[in-house]
Amino acid sequence: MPDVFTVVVDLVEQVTGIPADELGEGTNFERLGGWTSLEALRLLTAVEDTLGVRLDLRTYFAAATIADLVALIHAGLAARQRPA
Amino acid sequence: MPAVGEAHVWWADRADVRPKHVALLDAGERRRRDLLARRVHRDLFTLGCALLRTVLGTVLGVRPGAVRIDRSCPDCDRPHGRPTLRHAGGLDCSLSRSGDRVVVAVTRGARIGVDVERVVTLTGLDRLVTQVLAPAELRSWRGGPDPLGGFYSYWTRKEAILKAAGCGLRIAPVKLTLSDPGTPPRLLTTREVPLAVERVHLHELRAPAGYAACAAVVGDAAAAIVEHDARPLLTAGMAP
Repeated sequence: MPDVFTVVVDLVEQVTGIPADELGEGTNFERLGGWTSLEALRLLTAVEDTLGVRLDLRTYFAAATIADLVALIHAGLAARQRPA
Repeated sequence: MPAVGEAHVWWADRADVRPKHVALLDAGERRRRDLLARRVHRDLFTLGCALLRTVLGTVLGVRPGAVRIDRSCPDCDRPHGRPTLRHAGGLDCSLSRSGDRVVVAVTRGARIGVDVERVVTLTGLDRLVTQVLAPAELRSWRGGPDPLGGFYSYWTRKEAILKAAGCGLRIAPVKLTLSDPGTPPRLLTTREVPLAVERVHLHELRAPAGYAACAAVVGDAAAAIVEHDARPLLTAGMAP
């Protein structure tokens, strides 16, 4: 089971250039600034490729903080593990 | 006031921001600005708001601070939606920020969307294009001479269209199929998008070096585009 928080922080660093050690669970996406549609799409594509959870942009924009996004990913992982 | 059939595009650089610009922001804009952790982001946000208000104030004949702009979002309660003017006169506007640049587009009697992107190397570009390009575009992109430039060309064109249509990324960009980069930009087909392709007119902008930019007009006819450097408008009588 990957540590979702660590993965998300690394991906946010890759997309925004803000060092991972400045990012915490409570980091608000609106504080990071320079956050364009393209950066949002890059982050979600990287999340899907790394963690196997597909989030649409609408869902993503509902996440105010890194902790919110991590919770959405955990929900996606749990849904995937339930038998169909 | 832009004539019907005209669109005015104003370019600004982060170096054009002045301390006095902060005073032009309304309370909601001030709150969004104060949330930003980094000065570079605060400066670019302030510049965007000041440019939009200064251009619209000039067009409407009111003070920049008196321009009423609604930024409500259809999906949540945060004020980060497409700017809508609360003034009569059929004006429409669009704003885009990237890197050190801000661009504002204004027209009358039609809808407008504008997008500027600083061109940066994209890790995972082969994967990202599958989220943005339609199948026919992908085939053409794979055979094209400039993968990164081609991607940004498609992206800015699609983003401009979706902004003009007022739906942003609530519509996946893969649902639009455009003409090849390197040919005159045109929307060819759409899937599940409430947009008549013959009403969409794309205009390549003179983006600064290292940037890509496009404007889309949704209306009866293509617009005559007039591009301006916003520095004199923004800095007149203001100390650096």
